Amino acid sequence: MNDHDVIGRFFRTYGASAVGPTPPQPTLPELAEGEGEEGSDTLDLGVEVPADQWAARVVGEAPARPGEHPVRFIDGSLSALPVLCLRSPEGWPIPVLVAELGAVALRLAGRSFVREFVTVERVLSFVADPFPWAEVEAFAAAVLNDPDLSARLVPANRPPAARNPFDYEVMRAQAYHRCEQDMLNAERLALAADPAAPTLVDGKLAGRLGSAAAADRPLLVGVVKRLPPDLHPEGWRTLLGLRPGQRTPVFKLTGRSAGKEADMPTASWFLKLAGGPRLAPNWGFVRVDVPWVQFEGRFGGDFGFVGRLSRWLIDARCRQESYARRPVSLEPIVRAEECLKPLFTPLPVLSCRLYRRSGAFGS
Amino acid sequence: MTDHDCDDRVGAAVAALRRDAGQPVDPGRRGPVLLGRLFEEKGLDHVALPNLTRGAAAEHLRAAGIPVEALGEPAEELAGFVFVAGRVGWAFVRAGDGLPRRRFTAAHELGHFLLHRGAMGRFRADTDATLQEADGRVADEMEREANRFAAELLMPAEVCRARAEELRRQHGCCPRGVLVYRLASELLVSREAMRYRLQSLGVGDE
Repeated sequence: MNDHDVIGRFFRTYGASAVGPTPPQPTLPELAEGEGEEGSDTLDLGVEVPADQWAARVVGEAPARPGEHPVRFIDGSLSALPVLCLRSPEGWPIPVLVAELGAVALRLAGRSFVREFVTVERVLSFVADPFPWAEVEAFAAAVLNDPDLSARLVPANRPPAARNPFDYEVMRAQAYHRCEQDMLNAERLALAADPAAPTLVDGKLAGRLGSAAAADRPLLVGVVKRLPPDLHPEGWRTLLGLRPGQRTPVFKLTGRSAGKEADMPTASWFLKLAGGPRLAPNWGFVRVDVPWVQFEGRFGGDFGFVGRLSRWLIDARCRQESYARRPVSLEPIVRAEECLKPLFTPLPVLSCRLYRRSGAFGS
Repeated sequence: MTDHDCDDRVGAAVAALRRDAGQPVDPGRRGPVLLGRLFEEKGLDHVALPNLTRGAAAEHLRAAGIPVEALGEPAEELAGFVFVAGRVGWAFVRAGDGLPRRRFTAAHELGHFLLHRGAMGRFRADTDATLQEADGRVADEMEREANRFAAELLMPAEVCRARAEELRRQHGCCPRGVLVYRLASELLVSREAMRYRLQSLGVGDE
């Protein structure tokens, strides 16, 4: 049996039907245990000032010194679409996602950026545990060796029983998070490709690198756009009252991942990049993470460094009015994204190829 | 028997199986080892049971018309089980295990079937303590061999080295953690098993 037949037989056996993107759900499912990158974080809020004395701090004009600002910028991207729905042997609907993911690294060379690293991969993901292993392995080999598909199967785990594992949306989220893990892996590769350059990563550092590896590297910065962890009331008041060019005091953040403490405590602070009369108070700021081991060691716990790096980041903020996420974006990361996304094959093209290969929906 | 002898014996069994089945290692072809075809080649059937116990395995075999005497304490929970009847056999795995774990268990039972048929009698029962994807410290010699058999069969050294070389050629580095992720999904094994295998082979940068 050739690869084409194997793919079609798998889809026919499990009643594949074409599906489109999932409409917005009233509530988003939480990340499955062990599948996502998030968890409950531990905060030490008294690093720069006592926790009950938190107040906005104005970022000074002092420029960053050599080694105190990034020259290399890493961004990952994931484009995923549910294209098929299978019926598991027990009869539950299981979405199949087709996705392209990758990471890019740009280096600042004078006043321009040079792309020095890129990786793009095509994957197919679904909750594979309910299916017989012999059929899944034959299917996985067929889709990977098919020249038009060349997609690696990244099997998502069956959701835990406590999370209604038979819910289509839970199954979709499980597959999507599995793809995200591979995007993170692509970013890890981008980080490893040049350990000698001061580097900024779009996203948090925990999960991408450990403290021991960070200790030997020059500056590493993570810029996180997601909502903050649980702050204390003074923290929220300070954060939501920040004006452009201000930051919160530094705190120590120890993330958790898959139920255990992540090996990357960071010196973190929130920095307001943009603001204005029409901007909601919970928008326009980013969280800046620097490995704790670097903050304490290489930078000697110097809050002057925090101010200088903050100034550099404010100066590097995105100024393109047309960019929807401008208030929380940095120009180098926007450029990196622009550099990576055109390398992805459009998902409708991939889904058509998959439908054609399956033989289940006519030629 | 020394570890080296054990490796030789296991390596020879894996090589013979691939040769007999016409499935030589080809790093140019991507994807998991087609274990199901190797089972077919050797006349070994595979069965996934929701609650795998000695009693459940015996019941399944009797329902298939196989005469089965006592297989031990019926309620004992198992991680894997293999039963031999002449030239054919049945390998049992737990249906509730994740897909990579089920494949590893099946490959482990195939190892018993090929390596230990003479010594084990008609069946061999495995528990979580004997079936280890990522730990070479199992005391029992037969179990250690079956674990090595599964690892060599599902994660061929040639493929691991070829993918590592490819990564190094493309990006100038080969972080083991990155390779673990990529290879574990390509070969449909657990990341834990893959990490242990790459470490044993010395493939990838720490």
